Amino acid sequence: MKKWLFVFGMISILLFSCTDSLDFDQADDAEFLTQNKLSIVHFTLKGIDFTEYQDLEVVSAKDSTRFDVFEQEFVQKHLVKLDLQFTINNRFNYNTLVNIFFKNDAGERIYQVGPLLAPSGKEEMFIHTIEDEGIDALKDSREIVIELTSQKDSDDFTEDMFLHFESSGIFHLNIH
Amino acid sequence: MRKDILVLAIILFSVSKLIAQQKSVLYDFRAIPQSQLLNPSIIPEYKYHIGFPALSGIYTNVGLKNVSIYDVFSKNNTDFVEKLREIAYDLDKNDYFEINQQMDIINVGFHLPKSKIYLSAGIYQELDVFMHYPEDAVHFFFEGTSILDKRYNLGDITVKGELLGVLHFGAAKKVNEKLTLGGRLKLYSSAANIKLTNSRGTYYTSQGTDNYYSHNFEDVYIKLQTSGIIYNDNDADPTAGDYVRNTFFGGGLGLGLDGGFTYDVTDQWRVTGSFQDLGFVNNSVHNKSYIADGDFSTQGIDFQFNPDEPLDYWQQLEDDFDESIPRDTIYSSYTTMRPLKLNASASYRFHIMEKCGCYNTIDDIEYREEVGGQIYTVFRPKKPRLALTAFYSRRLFRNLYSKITYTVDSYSYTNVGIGLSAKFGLFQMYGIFDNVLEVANIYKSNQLGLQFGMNFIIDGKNKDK
Repeated sequence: MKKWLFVFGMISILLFSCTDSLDFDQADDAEFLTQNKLSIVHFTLKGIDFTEYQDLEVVSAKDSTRFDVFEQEFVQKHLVKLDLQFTINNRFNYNTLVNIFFKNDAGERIYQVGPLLAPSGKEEMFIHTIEDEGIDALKDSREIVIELTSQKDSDDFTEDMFLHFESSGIFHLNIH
Repeated sequence: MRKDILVLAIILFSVSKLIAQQKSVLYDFRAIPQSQLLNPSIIPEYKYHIGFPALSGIYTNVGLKNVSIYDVFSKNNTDFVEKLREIAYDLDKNDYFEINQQMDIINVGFHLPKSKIYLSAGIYQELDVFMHYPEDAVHFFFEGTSILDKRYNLGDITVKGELLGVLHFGAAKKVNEKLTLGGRLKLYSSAANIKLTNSRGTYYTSQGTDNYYSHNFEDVYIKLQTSGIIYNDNDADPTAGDYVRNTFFGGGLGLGLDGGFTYDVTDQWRVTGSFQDLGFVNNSVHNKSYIADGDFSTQGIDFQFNPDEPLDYWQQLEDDFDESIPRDTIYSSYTTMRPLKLNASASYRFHIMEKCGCYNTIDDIEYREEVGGQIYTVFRPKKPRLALTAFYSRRLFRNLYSKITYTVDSYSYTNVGIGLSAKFGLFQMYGIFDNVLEVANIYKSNQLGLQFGMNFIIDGKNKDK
């Protein structure tokens, strides 16, 4: 009998223990805010390519790319804000306006950044923040289009002139 | 990474450095038949044992290091994410998560008549998972690509996991008055296996030359091997029944060996040693392995403004990535080694409890108490794990045995374990509990190990000893 009581008592101690109060629901409301920097588009237009256009007062150029980042399920679910950064180093003799368009699958322009003015002979930096409805629109986009419209500022032209464009985004994610 | 996976991963990864598979209480606890699985040279006092089907040995061990579930989930004013972030940065790549679960399905043994041999056999199921804390991957989750020139090591990620069934046959023989040797042959059946080891590579974001940032993957080599986990698209998803079936010799097969010895230096001093799971498994069921190998760097898309030859830049970027870091899927079988375990002990027995009230031979003497030390090591990826144990065992009553252990490893100095084995007629039951000092609140515990089981033991004078 003594043996039974001893064994039962030991097993009870082993199997049952009290626990302080815990709150496992804390994990449900947890939000992880992260930032991710991503280079997007860059290009360099060289003076040697613009020699034949020097007689024109206005010159325009356009190029585009498919951009599947916003289509990713993870981005769709967690992207809450986007800071776009641009640096335009314009060493041409043309003042240049830069427009960035985001298009959806149907080819419709659903969001625009710009026009960004890059004066002749200067380097300019721009920051454009997108959130709320802008982010919702961006999440439907699948294409980026960059349009340049340049107006001659002077006739002083050399073939070593250039226009350099850089762009990146800081993607703010709220993982919850 | 899904938030819930990250939360669970960080909690599980705040891990005791050495907790799983020690079974320090069970080792050489000769009143419990399952101790023969840790040292096949054990010849018990009884003549036969039959494990209670599916209940003769249930073992689970999970550990937490440096922080407990209580630290994370206690009700206080500290923000949960900040608590988790602090834990995530407190851990490092040498921390690991380890879980080992075993369940005896059948376990039987008997003395071979007119010999000094004890035979045993059985089937058990085992789950063994080992994973190093992916320090850089977790930091990358919190930091993203926002920190320039910080290198994230892809080689941090190490995973080995397996679910298998084991059919074993063991024999222990008393070679002479002092020495007993034993061996156990094992046939493994793998139901599921995952292996990700020896990866390498680095990701970092740096200042670009043509654009703001350059995103760089350097010297990447990742090989993830799976078996029985990822099925082909045209196959139905695996069910619990598939895993059960493959656990019992429907999956990939392998062979292994255990060995051990018991040496009575004197009638009171004893030395033992054993090894378990010197073996391999050929994983051959529903294999799917992935390899990525190469380098890649990008500063974004470079517009050419050539309307005569418009380019699909995004496709070009994808093609460049695929060409620079080609990824292959392989369906062939692969072999994995089981984690080898070593045990050794030295002990001193005292307090004679005479069996017959007389001395015919040394074998008639039974000692009531025993003290000693044990050492255990398991070979894991990167480096072996070590534990040192001091123990005291005592026969409390005629059919009640106890053992208490104090185990020390690199990260814990307070692991006290206790085990009890009680026999009521033919029925024997036992319970083993690690870290009893934390019983008051298990959520504050850094480690929890529990084993219990029931057997039928048939005593009888073994005239052949």
